[in-house]
Amino acid sequence: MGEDPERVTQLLEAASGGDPAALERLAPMVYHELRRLAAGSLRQERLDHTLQPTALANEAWIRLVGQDRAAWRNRAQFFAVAATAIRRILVDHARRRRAVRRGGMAEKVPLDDVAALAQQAPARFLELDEALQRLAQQDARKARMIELRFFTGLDIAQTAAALDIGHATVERDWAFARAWLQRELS
Amino acid sequence: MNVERWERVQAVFHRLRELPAVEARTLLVELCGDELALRNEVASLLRAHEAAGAEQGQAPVFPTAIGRYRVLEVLGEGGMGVVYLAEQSEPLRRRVAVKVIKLGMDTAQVLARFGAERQALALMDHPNIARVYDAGSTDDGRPYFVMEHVPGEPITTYCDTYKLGVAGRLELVLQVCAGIQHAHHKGVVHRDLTPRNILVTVHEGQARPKIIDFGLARATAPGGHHSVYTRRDEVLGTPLYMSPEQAGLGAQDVDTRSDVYTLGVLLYELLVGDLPFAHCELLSAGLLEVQRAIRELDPPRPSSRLSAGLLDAASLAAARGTDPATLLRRLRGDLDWVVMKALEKDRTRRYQTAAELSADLLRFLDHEPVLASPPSSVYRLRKFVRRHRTQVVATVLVAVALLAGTFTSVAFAVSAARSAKLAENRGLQLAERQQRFDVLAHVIHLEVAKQDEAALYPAEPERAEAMRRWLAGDAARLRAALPEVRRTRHELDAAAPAEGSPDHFLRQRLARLERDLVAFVNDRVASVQRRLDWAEGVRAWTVIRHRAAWAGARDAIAAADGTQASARYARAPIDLEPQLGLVPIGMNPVTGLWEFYHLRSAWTPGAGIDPVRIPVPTVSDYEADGRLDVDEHTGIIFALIPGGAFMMGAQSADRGAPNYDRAADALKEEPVHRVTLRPFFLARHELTQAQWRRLTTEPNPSRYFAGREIRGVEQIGWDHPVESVSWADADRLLGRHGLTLPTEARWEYAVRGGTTTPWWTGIRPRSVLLQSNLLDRTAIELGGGVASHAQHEDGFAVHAPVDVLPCNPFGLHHAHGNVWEWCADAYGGYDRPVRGGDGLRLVEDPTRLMRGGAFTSEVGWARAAFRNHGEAERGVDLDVGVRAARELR
Repeated sequence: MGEDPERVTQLLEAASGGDPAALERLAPMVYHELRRLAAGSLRQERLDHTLQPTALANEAWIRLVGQDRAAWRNRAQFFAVAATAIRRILVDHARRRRAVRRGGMAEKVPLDDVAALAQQAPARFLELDEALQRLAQQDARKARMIELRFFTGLDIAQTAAALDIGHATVERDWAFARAWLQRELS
Repeated sequence: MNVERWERVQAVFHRLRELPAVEARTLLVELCGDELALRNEVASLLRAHEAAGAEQGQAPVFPTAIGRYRVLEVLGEGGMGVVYLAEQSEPLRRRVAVKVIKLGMDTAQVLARFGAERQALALMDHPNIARVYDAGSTDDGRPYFVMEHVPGEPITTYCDTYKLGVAGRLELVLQVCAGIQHAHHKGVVHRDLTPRNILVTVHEGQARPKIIDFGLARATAPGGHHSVYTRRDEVLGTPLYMSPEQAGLGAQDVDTRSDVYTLGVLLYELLVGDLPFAHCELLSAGLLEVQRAIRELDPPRPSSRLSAGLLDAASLAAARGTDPATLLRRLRGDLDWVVMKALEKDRTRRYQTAAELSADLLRFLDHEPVLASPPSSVYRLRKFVRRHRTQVVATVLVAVALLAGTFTSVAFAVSAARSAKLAENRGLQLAERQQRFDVLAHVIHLEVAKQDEAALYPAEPERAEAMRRWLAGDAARLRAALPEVRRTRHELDAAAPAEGSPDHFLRQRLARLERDLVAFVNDRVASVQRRLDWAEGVRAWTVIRHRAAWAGARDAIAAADGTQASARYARAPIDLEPQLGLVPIGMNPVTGLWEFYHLRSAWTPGAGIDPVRIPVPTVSDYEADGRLDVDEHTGIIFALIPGGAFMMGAQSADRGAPNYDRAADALKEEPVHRVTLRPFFLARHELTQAQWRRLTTEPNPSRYFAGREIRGVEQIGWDHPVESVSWADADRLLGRHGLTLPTEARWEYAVRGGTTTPWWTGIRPRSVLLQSNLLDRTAIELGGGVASHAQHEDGFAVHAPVDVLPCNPFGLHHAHGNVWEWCADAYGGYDRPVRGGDGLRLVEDPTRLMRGGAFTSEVGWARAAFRNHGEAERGVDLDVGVRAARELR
């Protein structure tokens, strides 16, 4: 059974009001729902049927919150929670698949196509995850931004809204963080 | 890495990442000095940055110098030659772009022709034109041109990258028009405008298109012929931008109007993401064929092109920050006509200058009627059929397939057409079959009629003639076509054609057409008839009948003496003309502002009520506190808001400075700045659910709709505000009735009503809590809200009737609280400029502003300066409504 939308909305409201306990209660719900949704796509092993993080996050949003409730600010908050959850799901998935032989396509998969990476190049995906953890220690905001963009497909404008920072800042941080990751992984 | 070091790495990285590799390396050494670790760190990041970016090929070999210009890198390669980034050191040090023309042209001639135009080129000085500095010949004898270096990207790429909406794209085209107009003034025609020649740079935070390559087309055209002939070998992109006179076979004179045509092509491409004749290339191919199409065929209107289904409408719309349906609505009508006028084959029927084109675009952006008018559809269709008489079956099929909307149907139609041809060859009963296929022309008629219908708003006298024409033309013809369609379908039914045969296709298509036609007649035709009735009567009902009241209002407002009308009107004197559609009520005895009744929103279409009999409030209806009663029958009540200047925004830095507000959001609400506004009309109330019902046939979107009971606490009435309205729906609904959303500046100005405190009620949160419907215990119990505000109780669970609770100094109810109110502006910082007159902020953003807080808001969100925003297409929250505004005409 799905969660009660009013309750999720309430938690989101509380979270955007700065209540950390609300986030803690919300995260497992979002994680659970995303896991359920992702299970189907991740079983597919064909190249053209990879999971779409953006679609996934959107669908979870609709299922948990409903189409017509809560405002944009809650949505950003929700996506922030979803990004972390999707990352965890993909890490789990990549760990299980690590034994799989690295396919010839692995080098061709771009870094930001995290779902394809987790499926076709699990080892490289886990390297990415570790690099992200290092980045988080150095610069939490940039790591968070990469997480939002990689794992829920938010664009620059949406990321700016979700993190409540300026457009230009996101673009600068993005250029830098991506270069940093690229170097760490090369 | 410590924080300081981390910051330095970033600073150096950002300083260098945009620079060409050679230069970045030099500067890196300079910036890092002997800090080797830093240098290595940044160098590795720059390499990774390059790798992460677009696949970069190996560095091409290029000359180190051209003339006296030191070459830094290759900027691009085109049909004409290679463009280098170079540095000039004498007489001044600057970066330039050097274009070296391919071998194979007579250098002396090219330079001679350039010399001839050089003086004119030197006279051009315009922010939207890249300057041409110099020309010369390289060591191996090729001509080159030296131009201002424009570090930007092609206008089309720029627009898509930043997902500019229609308005944003038009603003850029306006600048391009300005540049072209300037050049034309100086006697220079570009002749080769393409998106690749219009680069957009960002200058002081504003996008600025710059036109490059002025004068080059003529200089490089051999023997007096225009450039096109030299460029046959180029990619098939360029001919598609040619004007009909350029596409002519003989050498024709090409004048400034040729550039106007190309501006039309550019406009077309920016709006629908494809070129007017790109589909010809698709269907037939060949340069000559495309040239013929440009000379002879009428391209589909932008909106038809979009709805034809050959383009990926969803991603096109997404790149314009909207959805396909909204984009289509935006293009239909005026914008279609503007583009088509620029694309007229006959240059005497085009806009004669770039300035004329930009004036019409401005009219469109200002929601004023454009000068371009729809060509009669009958005329166009007749032309179409005449031109294709010999191949009418094939063409109609292709056209139908285009409208039917899929690639498969195109393919199918082509094969169907082929078999029709086959039938012809065999001498079968072609005539009969052809006749049947001709019936499909009504699909086009229907499409055209629907598009024209969508433009028949608002219902005002100047549209009446167009409505009558539409009813007598499009509508009557389609009504008459119905029996023929029906009969043909019956014939085909009887013949029971085999699956997959052309006749089978035809039968299916006709069945759909029949359904569409019936719906069209019942729904659209009836709607236009009602609109026409209103358009024909509205002047008599509002202006003529109330002539005396209008004269009285005019005198009182001109006097602005504080007894007949507020002295505030004296600041920006108004000479009030009778306002079509409004009826004067009188001066509000409390605010001193004059108020007016919007008749249409009190009238129920199709209910058989004579608009003359609609009761209009009078001065005696004002209660002691200035309130006018609003019930389910009441129309919109507008206050005429005086013009004036005010301080917009809020600041928490200085208690003594204007608009001090302890809770001000420095990022969004600062800096406090002065905005001057012309007088305008603003509704005293949020739009009610009853008014919504009368103004549109769209269902009431409200989540708490009239009649609904909220957990036994209260019953929603028709006098409650409509909510769950998206910005796009609100904007369209108001636009169809000649109304608008208030700009953010107008909203804040009117809500402040002369005050400078956080709320019009004062500086203390308590003052607003007592007089507004905000978040309270009841609302929290209903789901949502932050627990710390649960103490307060205002008596309303959700939204309240629009006329309860005290009004502000301008007579506005629920200025704070009840429902959020959409504003016209896109969301943007206060560093962006506003438009004169209405204060619209000139910003490109897919999100739209909403103001004023709602029954779900804590007091801080209801502040006069607080800015909330939501997505234009999707903001369907249950606490978002709309307050109507109207221009003073």
